[in-house]
Amino acid sequence: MNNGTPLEQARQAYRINLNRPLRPSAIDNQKLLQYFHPDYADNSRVALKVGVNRHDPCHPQLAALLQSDSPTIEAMLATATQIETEVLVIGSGGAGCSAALVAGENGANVLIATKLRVGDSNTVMAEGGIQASIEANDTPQAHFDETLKAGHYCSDKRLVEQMVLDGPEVIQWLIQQGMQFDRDEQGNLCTRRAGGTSANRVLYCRDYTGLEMMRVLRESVRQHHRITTCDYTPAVELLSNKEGHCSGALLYSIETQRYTAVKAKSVILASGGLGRMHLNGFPTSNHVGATGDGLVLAYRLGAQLQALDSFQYHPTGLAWPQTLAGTLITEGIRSTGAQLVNNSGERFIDELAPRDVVCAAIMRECEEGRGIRLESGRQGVWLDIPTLEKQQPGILAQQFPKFMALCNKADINPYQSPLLICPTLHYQNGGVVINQACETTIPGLYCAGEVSGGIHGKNRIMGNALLEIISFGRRAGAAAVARHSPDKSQLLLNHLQAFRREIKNSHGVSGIQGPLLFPHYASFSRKGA
Amino acid sequence: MTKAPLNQLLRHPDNCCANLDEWLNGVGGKALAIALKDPSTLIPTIKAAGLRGLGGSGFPAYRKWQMIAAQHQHSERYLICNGNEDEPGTFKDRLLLEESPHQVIEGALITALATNINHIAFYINPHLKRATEILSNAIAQWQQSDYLQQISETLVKELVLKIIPSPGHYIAGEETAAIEAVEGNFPFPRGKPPYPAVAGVHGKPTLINNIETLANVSHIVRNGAAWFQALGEGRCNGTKIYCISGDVSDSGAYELPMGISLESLIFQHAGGISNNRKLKAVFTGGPSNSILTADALSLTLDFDSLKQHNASLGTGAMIVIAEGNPIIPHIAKYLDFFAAASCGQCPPCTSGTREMAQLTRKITIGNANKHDLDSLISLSELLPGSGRCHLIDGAVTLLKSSLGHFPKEYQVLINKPFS
Amino acid sequence: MTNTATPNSSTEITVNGTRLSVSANHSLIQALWKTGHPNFKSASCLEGVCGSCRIMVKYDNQSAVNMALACQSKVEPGMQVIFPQYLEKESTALLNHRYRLQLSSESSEQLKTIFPEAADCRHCHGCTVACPKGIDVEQGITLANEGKLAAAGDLFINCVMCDLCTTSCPENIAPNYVALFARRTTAVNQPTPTNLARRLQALQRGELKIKY
Repeated sequence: MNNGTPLEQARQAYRINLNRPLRPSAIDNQKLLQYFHPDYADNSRVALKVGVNRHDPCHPQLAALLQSDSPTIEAMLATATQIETEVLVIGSGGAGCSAALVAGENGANVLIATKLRVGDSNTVMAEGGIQASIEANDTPQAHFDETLKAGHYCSDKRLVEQMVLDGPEVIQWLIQQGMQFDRDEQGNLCTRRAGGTSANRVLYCRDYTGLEMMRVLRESVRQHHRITTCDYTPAVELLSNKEGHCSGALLYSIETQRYTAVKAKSVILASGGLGRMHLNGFPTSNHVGATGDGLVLAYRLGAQLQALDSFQYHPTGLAWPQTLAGTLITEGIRSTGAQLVNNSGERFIDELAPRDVVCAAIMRECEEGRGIRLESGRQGVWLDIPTLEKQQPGILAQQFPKFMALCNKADINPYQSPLLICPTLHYQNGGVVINQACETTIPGLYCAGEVSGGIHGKNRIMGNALLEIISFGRRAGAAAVARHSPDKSQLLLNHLQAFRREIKNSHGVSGIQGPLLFPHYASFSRKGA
Repeated sequence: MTKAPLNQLLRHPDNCCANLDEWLNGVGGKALAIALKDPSTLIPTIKAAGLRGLGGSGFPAYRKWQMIAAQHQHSERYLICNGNEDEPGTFKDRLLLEESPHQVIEGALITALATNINHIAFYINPHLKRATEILSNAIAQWQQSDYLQQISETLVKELVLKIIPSPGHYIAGEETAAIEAVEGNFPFPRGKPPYPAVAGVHGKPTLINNIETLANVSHIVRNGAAWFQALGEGRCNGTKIYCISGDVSDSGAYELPMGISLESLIFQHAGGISNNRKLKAVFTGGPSNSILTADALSLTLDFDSLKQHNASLGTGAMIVIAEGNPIIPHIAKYLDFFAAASCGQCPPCTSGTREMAQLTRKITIGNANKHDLDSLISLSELLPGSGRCHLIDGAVTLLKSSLGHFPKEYQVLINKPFS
Repeated sequence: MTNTATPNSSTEITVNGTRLSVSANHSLIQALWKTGHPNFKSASCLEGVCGSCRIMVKYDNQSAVNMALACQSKVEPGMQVIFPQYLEKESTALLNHRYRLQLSSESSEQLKTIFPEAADCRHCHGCTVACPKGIDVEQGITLANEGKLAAAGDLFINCVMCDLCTTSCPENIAPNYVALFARRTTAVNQPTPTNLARRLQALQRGELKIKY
């Protein structure tokens, strides 16, 4: 394996070039994925040894976490303050907030427990937009077909059907919450096209769709008289009754270091993804709290998971400067014509191929010595912005103000310098198995958003994440309120004890403790843990 | 120790009356007559007397007057008689206005004659309702007399007297903020230069003097500079009204010779520390100054001596704290005062005062750890100079002084483990 | 690229009064992590959109102190940084504005009832100076007070709700919440978009079924 060209040397060798032929590939896309995509590597999966998904393939780092021991002991539960609510929502991104709002609208008292503050999530960072089939030349059927195709036909069709049909109503609901979308002069919602789709289906609010959505939902939640929120209070364990149904959760306050046991009729887990686990050492576009806590909690309780070996690596994450490593550069800039080039100025992939294919192609350049090397040893390739600007003078300033602001922060002059990029861990394709009502395999436990699985198969298209969180978030909220459950419910940790025994018997103890709550470099430690 | 003479000038019974005829039958009017006869003698007299700005600056009064007098290009000029008085523990201007408005007005009239000023604005804190009412009646009496006409003739322009209620904010007492307020705007401090003497109210030369400073003027003109000098102790001139409060037996306002010792003020006049405790600290001159402690008891109270001691006489307010009375709650309270007083223009001032207040309050209730104290110390280092006016600097001076004098009080309260 | 510092060059900074020796190529948040200084309450998205990592910062040889976001601030030699604590307390205290979003032609009247203090703006400009996103916050309040809610809301398109305008307002106005109300009420009071309305009707009529 070659090491690639050092950054400084490559920077000096770089030239603007208006005519870069695409190097033909010796292998087809399927092979490219198999050889170079992180998901397909030999060391990218192990079989789980314990739990409902025993024998299923799972990423080794995630497997270690799922099979980790818990720092929770009975005494924490015994000494915890006990409170009661009808619906407990864990997580406060788009899915958590919409679930809480609908549960509140349906008359339930809701408690939102969140690790950071309400709205601190990946939702707030989403730039591209939200998918909903509303244009005359588009159909929900096309949305359905293309979602399945992009996901390599691994999705749960019933979930996708429900989601695409929900799309227009989701948009209407968001507008009723006070969210603005860009409109044309006739008052129609503007739409644009996502990679791998056939129609204009992405609705947006400038580059700030996620930010606008989160601002509005957060305020809606704060204004709702039935919703109480607890910031800096992650759930560290789910709690069960004698039947093993979910009956609440054990919360831990980062501020006071005290525990609270919440008894709830229904628990909605909307805790998001796991980018901050930095699978395979990748940087991530995710927020600090994305540490896969929800998967760990649900798995211990016995909820079934799926597709634990499938992740989305966004092709264009910034690799340099280190300060901003992992920051996403929007796909829009490639769809406008920006090319990806290697250390010798060669174009090596159709930039608008599916995300997983582009990612694999970049990995190939790096592994075969055609990348650009940082001192840390990490490699990347150029995103050729100067040539784009030469071809379409003025395009950067006109269409990509947010990108320009990023360059400014990074101290990069995009008119002269290409940007060093490498794939960045972006999204967890799999997750907790749910049905159309967001019920998991454990009664009383509901899931919505990135923590759940089955919608995106093995690859997600742009804009479907924002649609998913609202579509399923609302359904989770409604289902959680509608649930009939016996009044007398206990708060027990029996499931945890059983899980511990299983770990011991299988010699599967991973040596780490979960949930992580924060990435290791944040030096967080839980009191009593 | 002999007891220094009390109330021999500004609060002397002879000088305290609210009726103009009574004032004129007594000491009043004589100085004004001298001023009307030859206004050019006034600045030299004030200079020789050594009158200084008693609102807190201690700046020689004659120098401001000279600067105004030198602005020949404008005929319209303004005098702002600063009675905004909003500092905790200060109430001398209120007393002067309530007890002896004519002494203040006559002082202002003489000042106008000395500096060729034709607009006099009594800029009074709106919370001083009774003082404003008395002053307003007093001005009406002057307007019925023929003095104002005479002054107008001497100035060769019409003299206008007005009461302008100040906005009541602490910062509204700052010179440039007062100018904004007199112009009818929100009292945001302006940058200097231009100095008010060059371009103040409506761009015209403007003199700003404190009520107490102006109250001295007629007496100096009437009795002469040497007489005024003799009133002070040692090398100091005149008197000072001290507003003493806190842990003393007899709190109140005492007019005493400039230059008496802190010990004499507290123990001779204010009856000593209440319940026979020891002195721990004194907040001087509105709290934006360094704190004085027991080792400063022998210090003479005047602008220069206190400056040498890294402190300030300020408005003359003395808030006394007895041994056993914790200092940090007072600091927290005053920082809250500064936070509420911050005008908003400079975020580091608004945020800095609020943050310092928050941290000291947290320390007070024993809810803080070492990191909080480190942050507080760091704030006191980075904030000075970050605002347009000196509000933030004053707040930091107070905090820093408490950190320097009473480090142990902070240390014992920061036991909370790091969370 | 002008950024040529090597990753290993270290530099001295002060954070909350603690002196730290950190790598020159890091953002403040990264620098704190690398030096083992836990900071859970002031970091989330690291992209400058969540508004949690608010700081007061003073650079070497400057008297100015600025409000900024830590994840967007590079380490500079001699910089002094404070993560203010009062922000949380103040911003929650100011959040007593309760309202129900409604279809109404009287939104600007509603605004006056919900945010009566907005009329007290003294135009000190502190909010605009404090905004790390360069929003003309004060102008937004002026427009809102004039009843121009849509225009006021538009100014805040890239507001990240860091609350720095709210916490620096001496009149206790919460400009970002005023603007958010303006944006939301504008959204709900616009006519339903035609393309969306048509699709919703078609769905209601059951015309658009999915075939597997």
